[in-house]
Amino acid sequence: MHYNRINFTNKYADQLYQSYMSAATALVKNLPLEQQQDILCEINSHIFEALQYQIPAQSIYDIKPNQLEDILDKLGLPETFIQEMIHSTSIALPIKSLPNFTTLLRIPIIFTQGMMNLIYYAIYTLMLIAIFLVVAKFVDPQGVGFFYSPNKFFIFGKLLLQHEDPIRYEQLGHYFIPTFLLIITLLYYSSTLVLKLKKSIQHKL
Amino acid sequence: MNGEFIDKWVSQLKKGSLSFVVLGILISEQEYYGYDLIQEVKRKTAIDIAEGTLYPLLIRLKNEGLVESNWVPQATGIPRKYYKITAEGQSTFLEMKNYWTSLNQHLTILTHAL
Repeated sequence: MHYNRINFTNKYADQLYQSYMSAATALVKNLPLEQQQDILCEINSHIFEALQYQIPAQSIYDIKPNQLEDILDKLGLPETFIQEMIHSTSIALPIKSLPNFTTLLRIPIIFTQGMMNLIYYAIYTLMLIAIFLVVAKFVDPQGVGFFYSPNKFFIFGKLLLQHEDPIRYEQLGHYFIPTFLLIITLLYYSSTLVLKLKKSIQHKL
Repeated sequence: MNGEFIDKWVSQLKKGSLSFVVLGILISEQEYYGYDLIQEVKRKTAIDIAEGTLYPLLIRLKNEGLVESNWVPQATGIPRKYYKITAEGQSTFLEMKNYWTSLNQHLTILTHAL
């Protein structure tokens, strides 16, 4: 329901009414349309009924500016009582069940952050395995290494089965520990990078 | 006498009792539109309220289920929103009335003792 504008013959009275209703319209603009119209119709009705109460029906549209000013003064400044009406109306509005647009925009960021967590834990696990293998190489130099034989096996770590001679197929030899120290360093810097990226995403949330 | 303090106290008292006054007028089961209700408040209580303050109160009473409203088209082209008390509003008003009567008795005893 739209409010029916009251058309005053006096130019200044009309301007006064227009500016009052414009201020009211601006204040309610963030409410759902139905609530906006309800408040505006109520104010418009009040002004009209106040005019009818004070002035003969046939003279309402010919009202003088000071008479209208008196009615609007008694009603109060739109900024005061309409704000209170908006507040009271907003409390009764149902909570939206669908996520708002801002929440929808955040979904890719939340998903990326989840992926970052997974990558971080994967790197961290690989780093722990690499440290374990370096220690294991000291404990069991023969059984730990990079064992590779085409079409037979590919083992990067500790041999559990001793049916083959491992030394014959070990590829890294004395380079095993330096290679793994390099891998551990790279994994450490990778995990730090992932943590930094994760923090920068958190700031966007 | 602290005039400023008295003014604030009177204002708070008026504001605090307005819901009781409005329900007390609507309890007659007569329907009132906003401006008419304001005039009735002024007639029956001599409380000179800022007219705009009644509308947020009516919204709150409606939210609480104590009053209900409906728009009624008028020949003038400007519809009126009529308010009437609900059954819950009636029972709430009676409870408020009991408290008010009790408070009034205690305050009367207090003021007479002074």
